[in-house]
Amino acid sequence: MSAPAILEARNLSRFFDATGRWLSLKKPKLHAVDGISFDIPPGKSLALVGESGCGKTTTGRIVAGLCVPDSGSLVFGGKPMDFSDASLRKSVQMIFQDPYESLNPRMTIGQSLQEPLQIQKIGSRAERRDRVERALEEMGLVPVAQFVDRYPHELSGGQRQRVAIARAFILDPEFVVADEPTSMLDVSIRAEMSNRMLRMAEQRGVSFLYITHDIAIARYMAAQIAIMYLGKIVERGDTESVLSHPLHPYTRALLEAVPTPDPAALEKDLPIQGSLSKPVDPPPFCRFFDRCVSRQPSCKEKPHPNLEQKATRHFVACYLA
Amino acid sequence: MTVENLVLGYQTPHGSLPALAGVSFSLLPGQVFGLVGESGCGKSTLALSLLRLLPPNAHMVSGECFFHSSSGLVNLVASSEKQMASVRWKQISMIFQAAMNAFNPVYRVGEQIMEALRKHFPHQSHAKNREKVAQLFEMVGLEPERMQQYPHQFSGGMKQRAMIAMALSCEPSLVIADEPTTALDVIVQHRILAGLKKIQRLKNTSMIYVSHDMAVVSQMSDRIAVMYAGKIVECGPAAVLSANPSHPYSHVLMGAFPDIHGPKKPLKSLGGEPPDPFRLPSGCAFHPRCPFSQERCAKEEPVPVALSPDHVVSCHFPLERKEGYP
Repeated sequence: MSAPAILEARNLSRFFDATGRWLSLKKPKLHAVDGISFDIPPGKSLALVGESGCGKTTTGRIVAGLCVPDSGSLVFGGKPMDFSDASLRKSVQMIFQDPYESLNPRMTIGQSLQEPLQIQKIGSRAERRDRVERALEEMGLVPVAQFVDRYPHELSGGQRQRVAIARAFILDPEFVVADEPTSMLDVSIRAEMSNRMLRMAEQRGVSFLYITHDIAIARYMAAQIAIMYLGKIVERGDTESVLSHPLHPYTRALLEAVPTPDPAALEKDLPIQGSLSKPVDPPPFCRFFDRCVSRQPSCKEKPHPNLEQKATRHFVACYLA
Repeated sequence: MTVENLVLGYQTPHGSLPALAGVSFSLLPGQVFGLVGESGCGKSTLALSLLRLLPPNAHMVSGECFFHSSSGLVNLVASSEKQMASVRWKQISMIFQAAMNAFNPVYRVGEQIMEALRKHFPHQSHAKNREKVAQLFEMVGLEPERMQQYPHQFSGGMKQRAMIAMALSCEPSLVIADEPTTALDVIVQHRILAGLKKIQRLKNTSMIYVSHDMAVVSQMSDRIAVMYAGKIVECGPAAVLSANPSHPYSHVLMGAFPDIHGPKKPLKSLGGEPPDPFRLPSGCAFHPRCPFSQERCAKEEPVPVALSPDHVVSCHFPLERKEGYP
């Protein structure tokens, strides 16, 4: 990658305590995020894709400062990320999945939107009001006067998520973590919301870390993609390259599982076996071994493979690729 | 099964809320009928109303629903509770959206399925029931040993499979599946859909498949009905609707999902919000959001027009058909 990255994540790990056997002294560890690294170039977006429980949300929370990693480093705009610095908190924002829970029910929409401005001590009261109105307008919540004094419960899910997006963008951030921002919305509104976010990102040169389980929406939203499986990134690279030439067997299975209108697709067996487990005290070999259809006995003798470059900006963690 | 002009509302403190505004369709034996639409369009209400499982504040205004059961023609709308009890599960069964909560947590999963068998086949021996459940488990891809486990030992996908096994236990002639894979990951979803389709073909079961995902519905169904604001706006063969929909709303639904194959296309999006059922727009309920709406749409409600014998659309200005389609 030529341009210096806006965000460099190196070896991020976060373990949680899992429930162990009754009265056992040794606490098993759930490896939610296990030594993952990635870069996000300025103005570009990275989509983090995986099934539920693969650690993608935890990664997002770490990058947004909502969860402290057990190890690893984060460099933002050339400086180590320090979330006690208010100016950093201004440039990193988050959009949550559930617009029903991410807005304070006791604040009007106007109050919710101007709170970040107030905390960052930006503008006078009138200027802040002005800025809030512009933000609402940008998200298509017009006429603005009808929305500023309303409470979240008076809005529909789609309108709430628009408020949440407006709030994430109101401080002109450089980087936004979006955790499944459209999965709770109705189908016809989803597309509109994705288009709005793309437009905002383009106009303002914002980078996204876009977290989703939907590989098709990932393709739509981000030029770079990282596929996660049980706490590890198994494949990463330019979205088009990863999707047209998937190298990891897990990526191939994910791609084939995406529903298409063709009924014949249901007759093919997916190139994956078994079912998803939890990464509690994972074995020392490849995480994907149990489910891999092309596994070799030798895979079990080596540690989990590192990401290796196989093509231009295309990395994969598999001994067989 | 034939459903004719079903009109249904919910009694609420703010007055009666119309949920279904005259829905008609028919379903042939061995056919899969897909119902697509957004939340609140009435698709789940329709599915539940066929089994008369609606909450007490729902009231049927009019309509008829005939079902060819093994004991002759039954009108599901007019039949007694006792008659319904004999139809439910044995002839028409349902796979619910939230399989997580469909099982009783303090009974073993196998036991709960056997309970349904005992109820409907009281003369069958215990050993035979057990064998039957083991077979069903195998069919949906669960190890038969899991019959002895409790629901909390199952993952979400496994519970959904157990739910499918339960729905098929009495060999019904019709299965209603209401978003059975919505909460699941793609890989699990693919397996469950493939399993369901295989069993459906094997047993020649009819199915009503309800979902908001156009791709999933076209994959599963022979015929598709698109619902908007309590009405079926377009109904036709799955292949035609998925490739060449005529109603602007079906068109947008098809284009609202990004694709992983082919060139990257901008997503089709609709302005506005799904309509408030208390204040439905005049004329065509879709006209305020429709990109092609004209003056006539706001005044006159469109009537269903047959574009071909098995393709009906309710729109004043149905979209042109692409070349090469019947």
